[in-house]
Amino acid sequence: MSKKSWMIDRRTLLRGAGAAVALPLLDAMLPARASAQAMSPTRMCVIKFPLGLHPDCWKTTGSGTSYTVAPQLQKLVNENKAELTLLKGLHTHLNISNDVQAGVPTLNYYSFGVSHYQGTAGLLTCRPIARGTAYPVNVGTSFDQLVAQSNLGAQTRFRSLVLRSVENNAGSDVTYGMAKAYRTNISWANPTTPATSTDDPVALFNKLFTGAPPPPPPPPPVDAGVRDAGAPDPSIGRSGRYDVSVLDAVNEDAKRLSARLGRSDRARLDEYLTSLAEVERQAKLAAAAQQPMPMPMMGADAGTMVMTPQGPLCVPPTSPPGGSFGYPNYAKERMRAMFDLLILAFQCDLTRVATYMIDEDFQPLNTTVLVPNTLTYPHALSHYTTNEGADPALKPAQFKQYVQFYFDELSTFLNKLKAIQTPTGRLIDSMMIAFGSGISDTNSHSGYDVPVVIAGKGNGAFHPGRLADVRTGAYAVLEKERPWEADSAMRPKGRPLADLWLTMMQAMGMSTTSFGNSVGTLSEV
Amino acid sequence: MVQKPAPCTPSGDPGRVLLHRINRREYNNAVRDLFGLSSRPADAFPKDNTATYFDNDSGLLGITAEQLSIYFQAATAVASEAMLRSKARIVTCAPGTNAEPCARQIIAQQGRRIFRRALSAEDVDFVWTSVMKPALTVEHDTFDAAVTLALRFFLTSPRFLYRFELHSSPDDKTAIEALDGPELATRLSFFLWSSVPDDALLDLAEQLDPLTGRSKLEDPGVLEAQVDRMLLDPKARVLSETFGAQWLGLDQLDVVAKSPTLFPGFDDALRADLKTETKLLFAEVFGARRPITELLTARYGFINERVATHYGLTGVAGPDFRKVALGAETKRAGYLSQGSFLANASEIGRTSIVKRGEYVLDRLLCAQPAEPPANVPPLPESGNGPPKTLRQRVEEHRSQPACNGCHSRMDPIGFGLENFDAVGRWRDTDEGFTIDASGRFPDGRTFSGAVELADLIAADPKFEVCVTKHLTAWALGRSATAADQCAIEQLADSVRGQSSRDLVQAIVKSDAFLKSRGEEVQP
Repeated sequence: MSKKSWMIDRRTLLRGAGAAVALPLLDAMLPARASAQAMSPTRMCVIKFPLGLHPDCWKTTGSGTSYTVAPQLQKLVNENKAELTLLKGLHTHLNISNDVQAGVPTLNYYSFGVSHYQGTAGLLTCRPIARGTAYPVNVGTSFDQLVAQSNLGAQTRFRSLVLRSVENNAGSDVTYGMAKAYRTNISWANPTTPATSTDDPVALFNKLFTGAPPPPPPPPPVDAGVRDAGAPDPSIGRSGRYDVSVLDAVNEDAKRLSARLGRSDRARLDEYLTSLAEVERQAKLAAAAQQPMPMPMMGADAGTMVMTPQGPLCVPPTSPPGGSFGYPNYAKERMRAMFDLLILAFQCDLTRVATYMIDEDFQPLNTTVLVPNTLTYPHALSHYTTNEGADPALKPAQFKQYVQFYFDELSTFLNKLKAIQTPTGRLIDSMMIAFGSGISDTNSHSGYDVPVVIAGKGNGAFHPGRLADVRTGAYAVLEKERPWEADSAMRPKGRPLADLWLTMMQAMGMSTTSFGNSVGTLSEV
Repeated sequence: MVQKPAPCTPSGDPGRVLLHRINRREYNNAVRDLFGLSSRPADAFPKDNTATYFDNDSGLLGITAEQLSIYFQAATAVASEAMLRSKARIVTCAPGTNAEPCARQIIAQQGRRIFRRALSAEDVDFVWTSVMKPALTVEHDTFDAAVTLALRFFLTSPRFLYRFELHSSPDDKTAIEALDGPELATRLSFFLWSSVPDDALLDLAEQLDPLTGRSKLEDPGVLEAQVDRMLLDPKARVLSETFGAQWLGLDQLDVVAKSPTLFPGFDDALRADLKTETKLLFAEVFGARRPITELLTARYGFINERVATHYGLTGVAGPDFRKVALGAETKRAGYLSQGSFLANASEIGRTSIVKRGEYVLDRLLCAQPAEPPANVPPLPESGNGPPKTLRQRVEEHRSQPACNGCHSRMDPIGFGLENFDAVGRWRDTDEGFTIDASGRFPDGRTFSGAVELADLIAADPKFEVCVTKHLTAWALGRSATAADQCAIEQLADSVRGQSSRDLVQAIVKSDAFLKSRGEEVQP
C-alpha cells in the first residue's frame, strides 16, 4: 500500500464530502488493514440517567420476546424493541450475601440503601466508596476505564470518551461526609482520580474534530538565517519534532523526585509517570506519522473510506453544535447535542469506549422544563412521598413523567443510531449501550432491580428483542435493618450489576474473570 | 449568650498535605505572573474535580493521561507565546559564539521561577545536556528554539505542575519538620494569590540566616511583613473573591432554577448582580481589614439600581455598584439578607426553612446536622386542611420526636428569614398570613427578624471557628481533620473580633501552615 494511493482517495473523499477539515491518516487506518477485519470492532457505551425511577415505571410482565412494559417505557419499546435487552433483577448492593447473613448495613448502605454518591461513583466501579473527606478518596477503577487502559483502547485516537453534566456547587456533601467528586463522576481512571471528562458539547466537538486544546498562539519568529540547510522540513510542525525528546527529559528528571516522598505522594507521582508514559506513546505515534500532537485522525473503522451515493459514511462536522446549552435549555438541548456527538464519535471510530452521565442527581434544574406544573428540583421530586419542595399528592405522577422523558430520549437516540452504517454493517450491531441508573426506587434509595436496558448486539454478546430476568429463588430480608425495603418481606435473588459489566468487558475482548462484586457473566442475555 | 467551646489541648499534629496538581485558576495565574501572558490557557482544560467546597483541595487533584496530554500541549503553546511576547524577560543574555553560558543562565533563572526554587548545579546540567544542547548542536536549531524547548520542559515537569513538599522522614507520622523557605513561599503565594511566588518572596525564601541556617522568610517579622505586602497586592483579590464564592457556593446562583411565572424578573442580569453584591462585601471585609463577623452583621452593602429595585430600596440609580448604609428601616444586614444566599437556599417556587437552616449550620457554623432518619414521614400539606403558613407546617413536622433533635437547631434560622421570599425580596405575608419571623434556639436565645438573627449567629463563637476552619482548608489545600480542631478553635479565639488581616496572619503562623509531618505507613 503506497502512500500515494490513499492520498488520492482522500482528496476524492474530501471533495465528495465537501469537508473543510484535514484528516491525516495513520498506518492503522489504511484500507488494507480495515478491510481485513471481517467484523466491526466491538464498542461499548454506558449512559446513566439521573436519580432513578418510580418502581411503577420498571414493572414488566412476561419474559423472553413476549413482554409488556409500563407506560413510561412504551415509546422506547415500541420503537426499538428489536435493539433492546431489558435486564430485570440486577442490584447495586455490595456484598449482599454477607450482609444478609450478618444483618448489618455496610458503608455503602448509608442509612437509606444506595446513596446518590454510591449510586454514581459506585455505578461502574462496583466498590463501596470510602466515606469521609479524609484522603485520598477511594472508589476503585471503573470497568470502562479498565477497557480503555487495555490494549483495546490504544486502537483509536481516544481510549475513551467520558461525558458528564455540568457540576453544580449545591448540595451538602460536607454534611453527608462525602467527596463532591463522588456525585459527579461515574468513570474513574484509578481509585482516587476520576477519568478526564467533557461537560460541554462545544468543547466535545473541539476535542473530537479540531484536535486543538488549547488554541495555539502564533509560532515564534524563525531566524531562517541560522537554520541548517539539512534541518527537517518545518511544515511537519516545529514543536512536534521535539515532543518525544522533551517528554523523555521530563520523565528522566521526574524519576529522581520520589526519594523524599511519602507513600501517598509517591502514588501521585506514579500516577503522573504512568500518564507521562501514555503521552510519550502518543508522541511516538505522532512522530512516526510526522504529525504534531494531537493527531486529528479517524479510526480504522471510521467508514471514511466507504463512499455511498449519499457521501462517505463518516462525515466530521465542520462547525460546533449551535444553540444555547446553558440554563434553561440545559436539560434537553445539551443532552441531545451530546448524544449526536457521541454517535459521530463511534461512527468515525474515534473511540470504542464511552460513558455519559446525563445529569447529576442534585442538579438544581428547573424541572418544569421536563414536567409541567411542578415547582421543585428533580431530587426533591424523586422523593415522592415527602413534601420536600412540592405536594406529595402530585409528585409520583410528575416523577414518572420526569423518568419517561429520559427513556423517550433514549429512543430518539437509538432511532438515529440504528440508521448508521459501518463498512461491515449497522453500527448498533457492533455496540453495547447500557442505559440505566444505580438506584431503582429513588424514594427509598433501593438498589434492587435497578433499571438497566442494553441496546445493540455487541457483535453477538447480546441477543436483543428480549426481556432477560436474572432473578432466581428468594432470600429473606431483614426488614428492621433495611427500612428501604419495608414494603416487601421477600425479594427474589438478583445478580450484582458487576456481572453485566463483566459480561461487557469480556465481549470487548478482555480476559478478565471478575470485577468488583461480580459472581460471573450473565448467560441470560 | 452562647458558651465558648470547652478548653482543649491541641494535638500537636500539623498534618500533611497530599502532593497535588495546580488547578486551572492557579495555572492561568502562574503563566500570567511568570511570563506576563493573559491568554488564560487553562480555561480550555478539563474542569478540576473537588472533594469539598474548594477547588484547590488536594484530595482530587491527581492527573490522567488525557489531562497530561493537554498540559503538554499547553506547555508547548505557552512556551511559544512567552517567547513571542516576553522574550526580553526570558533571554537575558546574548548567546554569541558560545551559547552554553547564556543557556545555563537562562535555565537557572527560568527554572527557579517556574519550579519555585533554585535549581541545583546538577539540575542545570541536566536541562542543558538533555534539552538545549541537543537542539543546538545536533539539530542545529536556533537559540530561541532551544530556549523554547527548555520552557516546554519546565512547564511539563511535575516540579511545576505539582507542589512538592519534601520530607526527610516521609513515612514517619511522628516526624514533624518545618517547611523550607521555598516551600513556605509557595504555600503563601498559593494561599493569598492562587499563583506562584514573585521574585521578592523567592529571594527572601532563599536567603539563609547565617546564625540559624534557616530561611529569612521563617523570621516571624519578615513573614508578617510579607503577608501584609501580599494582601495589599491586587492579586490578593482572589482570596476574598474565590475563597468566599466557593465557601458560600455562590456560583450556584448561575444555575439554580426559579419559577419563571412566580419570579419573572429573576433573570441572568439580576443573578449576576446579586453575586457581585456578595463578592463586594467579601472584598470590603478582607480589603478594608474589617472583622470577619461583618460578613453577617454589616449595616452596609454594595448594590446598584437593579439590586436596589429587587430589594425595594430607593435612591440608587444606574448599573454601578456603590456602598450604601443599611439602616434599620431596610431590615437587612450582611450576607443572610442577600439575594444570592436567599435564592440558593430556596425551592423553585417557595422558600425553604429547612434548606436555609441547614445551609447556615453547615457552611457558616460548621455544625452539620445529622443525616435525616430513614423513611421520614411526609409533612402535612396545606391542601389537607385549613390553610397554614409554611412555618406552621414545618412546626408540626418538628413535633415528631425523630425529627426534633436537628430541626430544633435548623428551623429557627429559617423562621427568622421567612420575610425574604425565594429570590430574596421582602414580604410580609405567606399564603395570606402575616409572617412570624421570631425564633428561639434550644439554648434559649431568642430573636425577632433577620437582622437580630444575623447578629446572634455572628456572635456565636462557632461562626469564627467555622470561618477559620474553611480559610485554613483553603490555605492548606486540605480539609481540617479532628486532629486540627483544637488548634483551629484556639486560633479563632486568639483573633476573635479582630480584623480579617489578623485572621490571615494567624493562619500563616500556625503549625499547620508552617510545618509538615511524615505519613502514616499503612499495611
